[in-house]
Amino acid sequence: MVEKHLFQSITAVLLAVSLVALAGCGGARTGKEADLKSGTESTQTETDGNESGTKDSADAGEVVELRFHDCIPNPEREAKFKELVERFNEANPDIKVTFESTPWDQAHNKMVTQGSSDTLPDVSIIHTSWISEFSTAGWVVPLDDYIAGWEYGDQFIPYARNVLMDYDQKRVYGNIYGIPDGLTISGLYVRKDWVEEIGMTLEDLETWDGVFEAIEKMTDPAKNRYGLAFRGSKYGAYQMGTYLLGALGGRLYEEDGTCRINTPEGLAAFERYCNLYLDGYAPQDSINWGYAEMVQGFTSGLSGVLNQTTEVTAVCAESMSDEEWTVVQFPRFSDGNIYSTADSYFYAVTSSSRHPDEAWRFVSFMLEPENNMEYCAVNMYIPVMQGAEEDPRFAQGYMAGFTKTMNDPNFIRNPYYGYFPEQTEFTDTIYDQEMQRYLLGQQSAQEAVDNIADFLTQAQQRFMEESPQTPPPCAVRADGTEVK
Amino acid sequence: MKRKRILMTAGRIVILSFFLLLVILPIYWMFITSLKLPGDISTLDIQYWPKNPTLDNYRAVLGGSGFPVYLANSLTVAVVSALIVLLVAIPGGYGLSRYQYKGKGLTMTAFLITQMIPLTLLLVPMFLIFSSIKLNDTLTSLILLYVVLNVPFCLITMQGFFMNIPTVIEEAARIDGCGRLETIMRVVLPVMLPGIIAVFIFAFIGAWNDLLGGVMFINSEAKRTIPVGLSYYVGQFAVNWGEMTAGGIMALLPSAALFAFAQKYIVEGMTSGAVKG
Amino acid sequence: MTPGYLILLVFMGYPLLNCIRLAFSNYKVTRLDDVTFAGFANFRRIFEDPQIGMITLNTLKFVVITLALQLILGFILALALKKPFRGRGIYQGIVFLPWAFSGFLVGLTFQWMFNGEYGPVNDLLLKAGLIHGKISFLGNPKLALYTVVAALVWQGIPFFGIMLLAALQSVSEELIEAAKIDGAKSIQRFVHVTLPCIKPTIVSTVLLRTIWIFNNADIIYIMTGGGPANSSDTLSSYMFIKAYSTLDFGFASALGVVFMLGLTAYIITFIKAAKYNQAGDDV
Repeated sequence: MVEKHLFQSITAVLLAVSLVALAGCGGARTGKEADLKSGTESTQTETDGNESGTKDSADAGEVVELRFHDCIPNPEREAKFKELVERFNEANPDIKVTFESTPWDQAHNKMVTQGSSDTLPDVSIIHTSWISEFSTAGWVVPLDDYIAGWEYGDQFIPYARNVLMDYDQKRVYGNIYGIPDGLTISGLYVRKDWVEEIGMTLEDLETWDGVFEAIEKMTDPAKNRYGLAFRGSKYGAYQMGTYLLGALGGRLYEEDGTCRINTPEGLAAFERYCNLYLDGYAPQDSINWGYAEMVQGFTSGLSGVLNQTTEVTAVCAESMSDEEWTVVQFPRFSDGNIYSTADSYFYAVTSSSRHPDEAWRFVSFMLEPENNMEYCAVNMYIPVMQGAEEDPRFAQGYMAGFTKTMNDPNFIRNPYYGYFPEQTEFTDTIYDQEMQRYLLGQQSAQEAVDNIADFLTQAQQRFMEESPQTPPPCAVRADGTEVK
Repeated sequence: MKRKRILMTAGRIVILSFFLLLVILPIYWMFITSLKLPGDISTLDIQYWPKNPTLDNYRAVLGGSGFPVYLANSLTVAVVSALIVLLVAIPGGYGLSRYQYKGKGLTMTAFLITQMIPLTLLLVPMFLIFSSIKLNDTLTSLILLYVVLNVPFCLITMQGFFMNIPTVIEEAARIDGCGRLETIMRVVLPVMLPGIIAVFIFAFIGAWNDLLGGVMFINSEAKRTIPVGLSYYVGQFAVNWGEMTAGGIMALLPSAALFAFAQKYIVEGMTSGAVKG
Repeated sequence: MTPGYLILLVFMGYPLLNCIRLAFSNYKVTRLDDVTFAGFANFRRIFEDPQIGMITLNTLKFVVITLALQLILGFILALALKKPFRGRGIYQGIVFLPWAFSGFLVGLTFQWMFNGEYGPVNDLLLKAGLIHGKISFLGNPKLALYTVVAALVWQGIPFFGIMLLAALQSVSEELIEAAKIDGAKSIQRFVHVTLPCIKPTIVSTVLLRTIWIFNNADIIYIMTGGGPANSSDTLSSYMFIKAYSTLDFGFASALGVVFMLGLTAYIITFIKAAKYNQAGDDV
């Protein structure tokens, strides 16, 4: 018994030591970070701010701490953000914004976790598809009143205002939760030297038929050349869908919510696109390719055509010579329309913020036309505020091609797959899996489109019953009119 | 007899070379990538030795990013959490191996069950706990997390190591007039040194390599750990292979140093001498 | 020991109970104001899932093969290292290195090395004349899972190597000497003296490693995302992807509870079969 007692006391001492070690390390940490400029002090004051718990503006003299979060960090982008944040902090001594970020692959999971525990940053850049989730969960606050009272509130370019804010958000959710920060639009990255070799011109690539022809002609496995940088994984089907939705004329659903993907036109388009892979015009391995691999496939000289957004110009410029590549406008369908998407990330103010007014002041600062242009120039985005059309940063060079697509009168933004809660599950997993099963020969094309259509029909019809006020998704033009 | 020995030696050489090659190849691949220019990294004409070797990637990592800070953070978190783990695991493991009490099996099973909870499901509750005790975005939260994640395994392993030691040795020491504490300190722990070091390495590496916890619980740049820092090289559209591998190779150095140091102890810590004395 | 257990209890017990609670609820992260009791609905959905059979089979293959390779190779390594030789220190320092890489870096590097088009593995095999066409390691549903296994084995061998080596070193020389005097041959000594001595270490590392390999979702997520067409999905990667794409933590928790029940059953059987509790007294 005595021994047991002794043993217990040893344990107690050891535990006490370990606790001291913990506390001591806390102290050491604070000391170290003091050298790092940004860091501890901000967390400290912020907690104090949270404790006071007022939703009102800060009292005079008290500095409001705000956290601003980015979900697609890269070094250039981060540097620009930090510069703008610093400028804002200087101009607004009553507010102190600190910048933080999470790499794209982890950002969604982290924000969901933060949302569930009410610890979201005050302001965050979020992806389009999160707006539905976050607004349903009540994690983001409506910004309509702020926009209405803002001096630049009426100076958004039409597409940003009509489509991204009014059509996609206000019409569906009743409010605007996210403000676009800059548009990215798809273009075709092309090996222009290969196009010459096969005796075609860049103009030939302005239609889908021309693109298919070029992809087939470029392919030469003996030379280790494939026409298409196919994307089979991680939103690969979503990319295929750009073509599929165009073939449907942008009409995804019937009035009653029946999905049209398994119509004869849908099936034909699905087969035509997927057969590029099956007939060997794309590497066999590309069934497992996502963003990074397909870009690497293009820059390494394996593939001749890459369907990607504006940001990739920087990557190509770094690892390829100017004679090898260029960007052409996104291809047209036989009806003369360009069916594509022009997406944006969004500024959102979260419901975890105790200082939404100050948060809005920061967001509105970031969106001031000159600041927005600076930001967009670094990121290869098309600015959302008017006045950039004549600016050389956006009217010349590679960006010109993208801007041209955007302003084309026949540009039609493809419909969303739905506003229902299963939307993320669909684009994240089910869509890819059904396509992959066809590519692997585990099911026929008809079965694949039937399965896809069934899932969407069920989800859409259930959603229509639950929220009859929400209209079904349609394709839209830049002025916000639907394509029926 | 002689031929047999030669055969054994040859066998050992083959085995040892096999493992060396297996280990080296992927590391070599990372290493040469870290010496390449961006244009030389993704080419179809694969360069097994860089045509234009450069230290640019290392310079960029050391100069342009917070790498030294991440390194300091990782070291702090890994060393402190590993030490705490030891402080809990040594007495705990000893207790589990030497005392028979009711519910001992239950305790063991409970420890194992803690290892089964998928991390996906741990994160939200952990987040709630940390924000309620105001530990969000601190290295302390990471230390706590790694202690909690690593203690069960280390405790069980420690117990395994203690069980490897015959109770006979302790009884002999006690017959010689040592008390329980003295027996543990002078007889058992020295024999256990290899085990203790192995467990320390385990807890250290567990903390050193963790990405998910670091990403989830840390917001400020100044508090990032190395895996979190490296994960920033995976952009949405492209992986910055050059700088990521350069960072990865540099992050390897402390662990390599630890291994170089610890393997000596694992080998020499074989202290049969202490048992005899 | 009480305070130590207490901390663990808070940090592990609370999530555990929470997980069980959620498994029986309609719990969507986006609908927190609308959480209701669900009975066994979440569990029923698991068994109705058309993919679950294949994924369970995948999981078994994945765990058994990875574990077996790690254990066997790790054991061979530990045995080869047991006797001193010149340069052993440096050799050990190098051969243990894979363990010091984060799964994230290992996953990305292996994904690139095994890339079917511009990866060095294909290139080297082609140049060596071992294959005649490129192999799509990660794009082929028959190979994808095993490519992930390769990455995990590479990273996991040192763990077993270190643990078993340390255990081997702790085996009392005296016992082996005693056996030698009794006339036991080296194989007999190994089977009757060494193995029983290190059995507790083998049993506990195998048990824990099984659980970790089972729960390892990140390398799969990084290398294949579970694809192509779920062919490299295991139960935990499937759960990870489902949890964050549907945000239905009720369903994910139900999966988690099923995992835990299955693993507990496995552990109890394993401990019984290995006579773990008596292992210490065998000596």
